[in-house]
Amino acid sequence: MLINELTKGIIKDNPLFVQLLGTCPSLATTSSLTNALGMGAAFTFVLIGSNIVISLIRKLIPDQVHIPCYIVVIASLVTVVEMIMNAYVPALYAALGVFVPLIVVNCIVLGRAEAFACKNGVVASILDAIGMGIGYTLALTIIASFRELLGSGKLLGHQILGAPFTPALIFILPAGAFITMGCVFAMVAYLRQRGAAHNG
Amino acid sequence: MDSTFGIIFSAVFISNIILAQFLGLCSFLGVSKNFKNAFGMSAAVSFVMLLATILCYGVYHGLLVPYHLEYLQTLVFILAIAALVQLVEMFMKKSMPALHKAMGVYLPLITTNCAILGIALINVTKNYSLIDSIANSIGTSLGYTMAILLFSCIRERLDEDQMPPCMRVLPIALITASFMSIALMGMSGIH
Amino acid sequence: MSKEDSSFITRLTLTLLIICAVCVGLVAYAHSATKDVIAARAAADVKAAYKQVFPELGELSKEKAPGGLITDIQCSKKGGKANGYIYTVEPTGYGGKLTIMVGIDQKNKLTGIKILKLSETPGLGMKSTEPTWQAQFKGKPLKDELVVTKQDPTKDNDVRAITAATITSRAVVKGLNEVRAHYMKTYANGKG
Repeated sequence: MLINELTKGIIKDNPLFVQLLGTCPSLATTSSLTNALGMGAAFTFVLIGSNIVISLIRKLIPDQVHIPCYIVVIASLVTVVEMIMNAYVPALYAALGVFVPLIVVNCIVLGRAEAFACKNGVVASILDAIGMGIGYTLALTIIASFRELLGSGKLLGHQILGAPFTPALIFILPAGAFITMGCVFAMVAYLRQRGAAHNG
Repeated sequence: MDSTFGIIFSAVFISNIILAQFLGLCSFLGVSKNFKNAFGMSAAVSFVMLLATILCYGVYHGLLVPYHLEYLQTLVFILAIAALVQLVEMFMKKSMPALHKAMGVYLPLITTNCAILGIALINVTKNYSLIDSIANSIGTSLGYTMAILLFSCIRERLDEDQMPPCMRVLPIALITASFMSIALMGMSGIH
Repeated sequence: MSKEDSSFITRLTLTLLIICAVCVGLVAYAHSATKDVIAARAAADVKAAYKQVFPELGELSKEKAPGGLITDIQCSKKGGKANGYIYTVEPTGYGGKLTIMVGIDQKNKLTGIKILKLSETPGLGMKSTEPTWQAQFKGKPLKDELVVTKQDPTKDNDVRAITAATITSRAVVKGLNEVRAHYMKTYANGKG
């Protein structure tokens, strides 16, 4: 079923919560919701591109050199995304900083190339990439919403929590990133354990 | 603190690569379950980081800048690092089998360790000289080693503690890392 | 090495070579398509920043920078006569260098400051980029050294610190005082 390729990445095989891949940007770019969405979009774009290219050329590449080839393809796509962002959304590009070029070494992109795109056709690979992209963006969005709301009382730059609430700045700082991610992971683990208990 | 010492100090404590910049987290969470693995990984990362910094500096200032190809930096750096890791592995296997046995398993993982590529890119962005780049990479690997070794010691003990099942393994590790990060916050602002 | 081996290696090399060539070609094309937009935007950003710190902007000409923290000085001229100076200064803050642009008019007053680049703690030192904090510098006379205060400013040369980010505030003021010292010595009204 093709539709499964799309939906599996969102919840069941969520790249961050279930596969535990791509942890670095999920902490570094989630101090505000805007950054998280920007990162998610850039990431999804690279993933779709790399999955398309790799599923197209998968039969032409000898097995011994497939990793270097994938890395070259991914790095080129990332560089293109970097230039587009620098030209048209400079504020976001500046905020994400070194984490845009670092999409190259994001384990999810290479992981999907290795695990999926090199074995499946173009359409399935595109759906897989879209699903994984949405799943990763969703995970970043959840972490970023907590951090921005608790750390500055805002969401997407709009004040949500008013006067009696004092923003706890720690949530925007690195330490808060670890705490938030720890709590979100605990929540996910709790839900999965409860689900397993129900089914079993 | 613009001195070389300043760069090292700041890379170890103030902008610690893991606890403040979030680079190299995958390996930090992945291999820190026991001290021995953590030690092997940090040795391999430190070694490759130093070589990669020198190599990338050479490639950037020797090849990319003279031909105005700075925009290819991400592409060239990752290829240079991947090739370097391969070479180091082959060289070690042949002439330093003991060292290869200790570090070997971690070497292939390092190509996709974002700390290495991250430091190479940061050195270029900050316009560091060769000496400063080397200082930055030494400081960064010291910071990496410090964080991952301390963290692995804590995690070895955490395993035996009682806690709600949903907090086991990763969530509690992340919260521990958060406290380590708070401890380092006290260091910032020393200039 | 047998003949098959060498032809296999040739095939590997060729595949890698072709992929690299195609990819680099693509990146080079993207670069040529976006570089003008990026350059134009960067130039527009600098121009807008000059205009913001010095609203009476005229023709700009580069002056010799003295080194140290000050990295750039632009002299603004209207009708061939200098009507102000724009300094770029880089003091060290909490998390690295800050790049600050400062405008000064012929009455020896600040016309505005703008923080161009900083790597301060988000949420704390980052507040220094907010217009409300930067606005207090507008119209400040340079007669005396600027001083950071945590209370409400009472004197002309007082600068209100950012709550919980005194180090950033001090760094900005340190940069401004460096500019002040150089300006008073070289360009202050009557000398320049």
